[in-house]
Amino acid sequence: MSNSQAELPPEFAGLVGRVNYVQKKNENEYSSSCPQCGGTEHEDGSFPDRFVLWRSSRRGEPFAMCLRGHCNFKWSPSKQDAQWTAEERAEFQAKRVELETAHAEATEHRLAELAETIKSQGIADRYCRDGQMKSEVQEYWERRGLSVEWQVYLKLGVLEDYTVKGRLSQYKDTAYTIPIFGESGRMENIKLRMANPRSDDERFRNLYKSGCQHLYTPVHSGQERMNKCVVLEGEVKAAVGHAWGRLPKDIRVHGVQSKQPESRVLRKLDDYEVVYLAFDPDAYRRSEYVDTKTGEVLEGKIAIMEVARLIGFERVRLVLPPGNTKFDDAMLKGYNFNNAINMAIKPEKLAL
Amino acid sequence: MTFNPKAYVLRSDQVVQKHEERKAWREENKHLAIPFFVKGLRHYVPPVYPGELFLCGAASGEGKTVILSEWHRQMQKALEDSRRRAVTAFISQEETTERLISDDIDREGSSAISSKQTLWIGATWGMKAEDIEDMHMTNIVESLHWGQDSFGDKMPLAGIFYDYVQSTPADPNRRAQMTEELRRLQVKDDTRRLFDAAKTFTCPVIAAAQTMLKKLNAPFNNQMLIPSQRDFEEGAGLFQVPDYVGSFWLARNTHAVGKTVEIDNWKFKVESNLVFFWFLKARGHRPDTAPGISRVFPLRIQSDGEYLYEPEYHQSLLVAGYKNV
Repeated sequence: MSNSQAELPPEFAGLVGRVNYVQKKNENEYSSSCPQCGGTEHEDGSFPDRFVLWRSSRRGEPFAMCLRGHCNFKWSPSKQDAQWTAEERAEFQAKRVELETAHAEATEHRLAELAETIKSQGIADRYCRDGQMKSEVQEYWERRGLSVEWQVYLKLGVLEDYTVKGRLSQYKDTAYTIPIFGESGRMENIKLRMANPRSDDERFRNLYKSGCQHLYTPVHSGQERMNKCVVLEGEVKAAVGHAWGRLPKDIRVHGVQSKQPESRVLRKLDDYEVVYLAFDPDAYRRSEYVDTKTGEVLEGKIAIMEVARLIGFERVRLVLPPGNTKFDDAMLKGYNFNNAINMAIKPEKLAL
Repeated sequence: MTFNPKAYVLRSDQVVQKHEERKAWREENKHLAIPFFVKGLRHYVPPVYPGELFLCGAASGEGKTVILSEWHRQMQKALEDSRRRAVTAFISQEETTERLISDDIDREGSSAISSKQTLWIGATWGMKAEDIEDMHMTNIVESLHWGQDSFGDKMPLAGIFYDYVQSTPADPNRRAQMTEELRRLQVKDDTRRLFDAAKTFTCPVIAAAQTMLKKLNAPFNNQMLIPSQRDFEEGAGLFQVPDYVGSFWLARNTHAVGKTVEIDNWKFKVESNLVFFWFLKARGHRPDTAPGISRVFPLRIQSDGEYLYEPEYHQSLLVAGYKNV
């Protein structure tokens, strides 16, 4: 994709002036910012592509939709985010499935190659050895709830003098390293947790550019297939959840990197009969976004309910967070995670 | 509802079969019974099985809530250790739910307490008086059903703890006619409904009841004012209905700490943490299955809230020559 704007064909004339960063993907498909929720250039300079425009393969009619869950804006020349017929809804659904499938396949292929690279380079082991030689690094992980035994098993370590490329400046910092094991046990990336980030969005980086999220699985070896799993936000929470959670042997622990994980990641949970979602308190708050047309701040969706809907309400149970405390902090103060899982509720019982 | 005599009239062989089934069920479900809260007395007092009601009697200010809370804490720990999916229900007509939980928070911290598998049913701070009056037995039972259903997947109850029977507000249709006689009927009715709740929710129920405040009818003796069967306020109904009844007496509330009490075969110095337990009733048990029946045991409240029974200490409270059998 080039970095210069493409011109929209005539059938999308109704969107001219309402979208920016138009990119031509192929003869029948374009991407751009969204007329409703906007979008700006990514950090690496690439254009936003949350809004997809295409000609239907059935009869060539133009459609467009936003891929952002909280926005979900839809368009056709005669209608804009209005009452769609069953046929039109099917068109949007089919396009979404097509895009997700293509994206998932490309991502899995890329991850497999990356896992081989990571394995051959053996960097994670080196960082782990470096970490184990420094008492302050061991103590950091112990304060986070992970004993030396867990640090070695999870290959947690340290990378000194990492160059952080922040928004406003570039600086050196110590980065604690967290190898990310996927559900198959392979190492798919190495997450870096900065010791002294200068802003919140500089706390984490990935050592390798995978361009995707992962389903972190702290216990990455020797486990049989299980029928139930509990999913927490973040790798450290997942590791602490397993180490401190007092869980029975038939529940597997996973971590995700967002309170709205990619659908590709959620599909990896399809084989579980029950999925417990143990997300932080902010996953229960309604998101907000700005309508680019009116400047009005609008209410979006509630992340936890969206995730539950994508996994399937009947399989999901919500593990309610302990007040305004995060799960790992609470567990280190005596919170019984297994109790909380026993008290999990069905999504439809959540009062918001 | 049409009365169906078939359910009530059984032949001996049918009753024997039911007895065998019940025996097998009790054997299989031992893990669901709540052991007596005094570890040293578990040989003497049988555990409370699902479907059974244990009534703890004591005068006002003599530790009913403390006893119930200690028993409940033990149940919570047992539930945690078993990793079973179930909750306890603690119902209080006296304390707000915030006040009930405050001692536990002081002991273990709010993180640990916030993860306990317990439903707290009762008034909360700031509730209006008329809302508190709504906590009569019909609404209590409805609250228990609602609590079970509030999770989506029906939540089993591991035990119900109720503090205390006589403080239950009257049902609305009786409020206007609250005579002494009707008050006794109300209490008997509420006790019966707690007894039924043990079967409805298939769990043990531990309830507290207040014994006579000013004058006891027939205490253990005139120095050791441990309430007897006749001392349960509002009388017979409270005693008849439950499967087990025990009463408690806090010695320091009658005698000064340090005073020596000498009566019958007892001789002891009153200590601040000395409590006596009289095991009054164990329906369906014999002395070999409930060895503690009709006996009085001295307990000492420890600093962590545990009620301790030690045979040697018991012996030391008896007149020389008497044996603690």
